[in-house]
Amino acid sequence: MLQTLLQVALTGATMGCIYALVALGFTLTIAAAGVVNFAYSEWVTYGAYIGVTLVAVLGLPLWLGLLLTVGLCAVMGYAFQVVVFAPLEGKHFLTTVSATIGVALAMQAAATLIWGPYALTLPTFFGTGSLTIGGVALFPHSLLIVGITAVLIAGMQRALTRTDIGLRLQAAAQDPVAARLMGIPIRRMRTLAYCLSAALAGLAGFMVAPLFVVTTTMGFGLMLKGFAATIVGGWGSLKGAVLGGLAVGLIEAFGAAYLSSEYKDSIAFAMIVVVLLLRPSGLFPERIAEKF
Amino acid sequence: MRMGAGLLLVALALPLVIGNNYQLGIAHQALILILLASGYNLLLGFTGLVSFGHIALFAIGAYTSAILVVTFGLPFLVGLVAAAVLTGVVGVLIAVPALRIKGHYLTLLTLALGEVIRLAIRGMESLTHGSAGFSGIPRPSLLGFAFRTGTELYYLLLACVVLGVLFIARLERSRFGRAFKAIRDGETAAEVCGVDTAAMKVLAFGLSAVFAGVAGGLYAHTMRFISPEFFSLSLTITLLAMVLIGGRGTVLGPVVGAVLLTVLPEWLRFVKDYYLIVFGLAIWACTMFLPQGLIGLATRVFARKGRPA
Repeated sequence: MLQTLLQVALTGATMGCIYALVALGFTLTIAAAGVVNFAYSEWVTYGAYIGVTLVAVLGLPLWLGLLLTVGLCAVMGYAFQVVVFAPLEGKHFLTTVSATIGVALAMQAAATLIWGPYALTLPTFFGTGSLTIGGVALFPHSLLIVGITAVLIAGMQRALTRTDIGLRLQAAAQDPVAARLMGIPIRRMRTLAYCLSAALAGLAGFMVAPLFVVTTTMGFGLMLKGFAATIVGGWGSLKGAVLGGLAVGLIEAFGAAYLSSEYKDSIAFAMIVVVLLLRPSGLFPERIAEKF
Repeated sequence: MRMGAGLLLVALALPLVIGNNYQLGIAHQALILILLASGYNLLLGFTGLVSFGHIALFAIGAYTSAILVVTFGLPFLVGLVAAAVLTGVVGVLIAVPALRIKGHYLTLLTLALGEVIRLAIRGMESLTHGSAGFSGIPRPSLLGFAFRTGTELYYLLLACVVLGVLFIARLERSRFGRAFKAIRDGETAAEVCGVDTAAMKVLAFGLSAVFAGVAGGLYAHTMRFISPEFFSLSLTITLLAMVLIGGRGTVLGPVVGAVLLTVLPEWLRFVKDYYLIVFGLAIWACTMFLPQGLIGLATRVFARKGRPA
């Protein structure tokens, strides 16, 4: 009984960390630039595919593949800022949504052309074996996911509150006009947010790839979970995104284990509906951006 | 007006030109999607409410009519009316929470609701046959006349589309149409001018849901097979693209968009992935450079020609 409980909790925490990474990157552009980026799903997908290409095709070591993937995704975020987001600045919500959906569709089709329609796989750092401690099976890769997420979130929290550039980023998010008057280059801060967001997406894609297979639609499914995490945690709140991601991962795992695995995918959607109807500001509303 | 009459003439003559049943089947789909997109445009184009759950209403309409006609043996007309009424009610029910939330919240709420409804349809296996799909739905029949051949069915669907589009054209010029657009262009301003924005939003949701319900009922009896997989998020995006590329907030925009995005994928079937790249980029380009869509472009071009040189 207890072993099952622990096993389910571990699975939920692993997925929760992935959702937290996805939601964190997604929220970053909302907080910093007020942009809801529907192409985010493709950033995650491309992260996974770039990882597969570097490691499985080019034969690079896994750690180098991870670093390069994150770097290349950051470059992709920069390219997006120049091509897609800069012209969208100040446009209506519908315009941003449909423009990014269009770009996402094109990217997804391009991924099918580049990498083919078949699912690809990425190896883990530790092979496929699992440790068994007290009857609970532990995948080292799951522990790595939890570890990396924890370190990353702690690091980001520190960087945002303690460093000069982090404070500037927060200022640009909270009040762009006042920040500009203080001499903070808003455009550059937004570019930084897009690069960070894409890097997080790439990291999430790379880390989740060994748990499942890499397909052109994997990012979309994860982005939907990211939506749920963002809504549950509180729109535009970075802390909320992390806690919301963990909540979605855990509730989903426990719901699938103890209620019905058939309805596993609807749990996240049901959470969106319930939270928006009962508490639209989310469960952990602490925003770095006050303008929403 | 002239553009609409021209399109109607082409539509009336179309079955004389296309012979085979496959092409006629595509024409059926295009007509049904015109109805669906026109209703969606009421919400998205006229009132400025971005719902991503519209396909669920389409699905409810299709399943309602299919279940009533096949399982309970009721006539087609009863099934269709029931589909319209039930989706209308669901549309109004969705509108009530939608009054409290705006923008991206509304979009994500409707997206989640739509998926929950679709998964619920898949889960209610005794009624809907689950993911295996619902087959054996009969072709429509009205007052003893059965629309068996493709051409007969085509004209039935065309009649529904003409009624629907005329209704929207009339609505656009009415008090309600102006109120919808006022909400889209500035909700506070509309409120100040005495528009009952809550009632108008509920009306827009309800009307667009009725359109979705009728389109769904017609779809079930035209395709004769429906399954939950068809009503997925990708269809939502196609629907959004139809309204955006055709021209949102115009009467004929969704008509043009629905026809274009039904016919083009069939023509370009052999280059499917390239088509999707172009499709995606076209959505992007339209939102960036043609906010009024193709209809807006056509209107501008004709207006320029009409001017003396």
